[in-house]
Amino acid sequence: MDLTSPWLILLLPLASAALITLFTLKSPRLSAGISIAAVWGAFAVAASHLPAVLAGHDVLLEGHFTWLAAGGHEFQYGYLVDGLSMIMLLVVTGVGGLIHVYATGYLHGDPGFSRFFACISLFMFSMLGIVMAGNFFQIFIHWELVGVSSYLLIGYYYRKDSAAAASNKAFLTNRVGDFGFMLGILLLYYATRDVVGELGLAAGAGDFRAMAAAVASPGWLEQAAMSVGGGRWVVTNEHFLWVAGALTFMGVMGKSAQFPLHVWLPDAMEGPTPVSALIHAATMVAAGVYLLGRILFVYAPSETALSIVAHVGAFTAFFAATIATTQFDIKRILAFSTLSQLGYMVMAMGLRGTDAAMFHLTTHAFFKALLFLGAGAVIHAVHTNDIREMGGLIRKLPATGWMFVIATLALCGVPPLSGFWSKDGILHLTAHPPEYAHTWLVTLLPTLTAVLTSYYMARLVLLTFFGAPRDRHRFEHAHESPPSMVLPMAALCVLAVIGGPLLLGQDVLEHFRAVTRPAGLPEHEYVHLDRHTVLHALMIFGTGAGLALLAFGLRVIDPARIKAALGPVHRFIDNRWYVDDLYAWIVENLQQNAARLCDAFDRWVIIGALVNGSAWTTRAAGAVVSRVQTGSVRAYVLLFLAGVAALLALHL
Amino acid sequence: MEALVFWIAAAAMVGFTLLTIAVRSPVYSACFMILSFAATAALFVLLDAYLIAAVEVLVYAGAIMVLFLFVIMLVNLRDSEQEGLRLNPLMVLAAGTFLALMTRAVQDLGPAVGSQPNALEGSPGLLADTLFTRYVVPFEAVSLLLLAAILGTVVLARRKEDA
Amino acid sequence: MITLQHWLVLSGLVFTLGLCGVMMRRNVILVMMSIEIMLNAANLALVAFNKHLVAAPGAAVPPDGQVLVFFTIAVAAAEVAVALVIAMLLFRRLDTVNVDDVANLRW
Repeated sequence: MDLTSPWLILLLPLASAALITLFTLKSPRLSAGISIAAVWGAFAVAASHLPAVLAGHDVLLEGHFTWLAAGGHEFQYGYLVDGLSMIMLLVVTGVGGLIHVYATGYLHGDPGFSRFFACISLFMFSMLGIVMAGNFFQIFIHWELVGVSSYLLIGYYYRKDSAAAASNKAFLTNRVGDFGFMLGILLLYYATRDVVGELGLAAGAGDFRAMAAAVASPGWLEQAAMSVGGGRWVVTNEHFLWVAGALTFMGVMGKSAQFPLHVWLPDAMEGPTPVSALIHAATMVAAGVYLLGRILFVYAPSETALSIVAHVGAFTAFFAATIATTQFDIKRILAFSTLSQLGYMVMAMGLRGTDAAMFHLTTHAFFKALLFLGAGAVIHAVHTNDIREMGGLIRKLPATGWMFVIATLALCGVPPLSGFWSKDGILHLTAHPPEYAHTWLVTLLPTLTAVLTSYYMARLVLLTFFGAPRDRHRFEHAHESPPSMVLPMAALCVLAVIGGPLLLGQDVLEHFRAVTRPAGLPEHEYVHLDRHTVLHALMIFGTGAGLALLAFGLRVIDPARIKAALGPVHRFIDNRWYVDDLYAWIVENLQQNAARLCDAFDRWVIIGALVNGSAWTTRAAGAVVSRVQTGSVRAYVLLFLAGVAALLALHL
Repeated sequence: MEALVFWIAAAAMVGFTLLTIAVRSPVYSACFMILSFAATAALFVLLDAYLIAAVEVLVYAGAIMVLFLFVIMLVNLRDSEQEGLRLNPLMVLAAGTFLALMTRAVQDLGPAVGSQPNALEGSPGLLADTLFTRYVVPFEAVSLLLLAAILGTVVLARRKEDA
Repeated sequence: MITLQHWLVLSGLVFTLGLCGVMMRRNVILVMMSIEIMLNAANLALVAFNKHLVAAPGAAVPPDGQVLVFFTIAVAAAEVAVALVIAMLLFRRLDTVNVDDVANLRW
């Protein structure tokens, strides 16, 4: 039994989920132990391969078995470990492991404790399957599995109506995205089917490397795939490619909550805080970004597709940041912040900056998880999510508070914390974007968004931890969290601080570039620690945080008067730009009416006319025909005679 | 000569049959039927089937019709309550059609070959010869059938108290 | 000249009369008598066919038709016996010999 086999990374969490569900639901501590052991075991296995990956950049571990072979298509299941997946593996298992430990403290005494660990182990299995997938079909299966796990975990407090509704919303919104994703996969599979065979690659169906080679094969792009209108308009593979890109991007939009499929993420905060930290900050929502990194070969040849990706990302970042400025629920603010940062990552992918995006993904996992865990600690202490009922908590929860502040600084991109390096890496991209993305959306908004980020995060920190406590009762009863919660936070804090060059050396982005860059993309410059960049970052932070300080810290500006002055704009933003209301309207008026129509059709035509109707007709016909059997012998004789006469006539 | 006998006997047979089915009283019907059988026997003789003619009179007219008469008496119906033949147009039409079809059917039969007169023809000896050699199995079967009929009749006709 | 057709038409006519009796009389016993008439007509046809069989040269005409008539008469006798017993039982049970009153063979 090879203990470093990557199969273990998949098997350990799966076994954990199965064991807990089947055997240890009644013993919470045993369940937690099994789950934590599985996660850290997976981390150990993944880490054991790290030196190999760091040494030779193209090192690849690959293994698979044929799951299903049918109709000439061979579906394989296995693992693919290269630089890109290694980053994700370490982040998912590492951050995940810390959160597992935190959860034992946070959910202590909760009746569904074991169920939580079973679900979260299932989630780990699903997520790691996405990360290690080598072909489209496996990634899709795990994509859906992750959606299921998310549904189970958001709906953890299933007795609460709002939680049940939120889990449904998450699942359905994801479903819409997954539908597009599936169409994209099928389209790609169809478009490359001939070439993959020609290139002689002995690979399973939808294998990433095989399809990347097919897309890059000479002449494939210009090849005509089909013609419409008798040759008047020819559809080439290039068209297929960017359509497939747009469709698969729908999957990214669903999972990584980009506009317009973002609506589920704020509501997903109904789940327990460890869930929010793990799934909705660090890992699952990053799956979309990871997918983009994996299948960049689909987008790379097509500027249209890349442009879509970049603009959607940029817009989402700005849009979410504006909403975050009006929220009062601590977790909601962090949720919108996550949306905004995800927008940055997606945009970076669209601007061909896979290294910057993946680096930001990593650092974001560190500080955002820390922020959520801190928020969880605060909620645990004061039993409310509303920051209007908090204040001055830094005195009661010093460890939590100062770590929270550090994480905020990292998020706002203050040097020399990790966030500065990754965020400025992305901002640098937007300053010199490629031709197709040279719009104000990409060049201006991200910087503005960064200012807003600093503003709302500073607002959050000031209102929660500093100033006078607004609710005396809650303040009195607030207490610091147990070590099981504080220690993981501390570990994340350390990573958030040093997770840049201090950990990986000056050429941190070089490392990322080396492992993530697919072949054939143009090079570009990287951010260096020079005065210009540092000044830039500090200016952004200063503007935003300064504004917040003036409003909430020093009370120089009155926020209420600003709100009144901005009136309708504020209302628009506060209602999340009315997107949720739009969707509700669509569902109620379009979808429900369509459903009612179908129901009526089903009830009246199919059941009424066809099923019941045919039964009724048969019975009526039978009733009519059975009148022949009068019982009268004479009539029978007559009929008999008629029959004989007919036979006779036939023979004549 | 032969033709004359034929026509008279045929007319008698048809006429008496008609009367059988038409008269109101069952007893009269039975009597007319006996007469019809007599005409049939004459026709059989015309066809050189002497034994059959004899059997016809003996069994049909003698035994079967007597049985009918017994049962009619037993049932003891009053003649006045009986209905005669009620002509139903549909049935008449059906019967007429049937007759027409049959007549049409026999038109196409091959040339009828009259046989040479033979002294043995229709005699009991010839009949018995064929009956007990080629047709012995059906003969035995029919005798079993008669046995069954006898037994059945006896069983069915018993009153419950005799059981 | 009396041909086979004459005999067969006669037989058919008597058969049809018997048929009319079966269909149009309401007394059970009359119906049975009509059935006998039909059987009788069939016998006539059989003997007529027999008469017109072609004989092997020098041998006698095989009397197969007559043998069949023999059997027919025997079977008719048996059938009449049983049928009349049933008619009588019917009369005992239902006190009627009207064929329309026993219309039980229905759905």
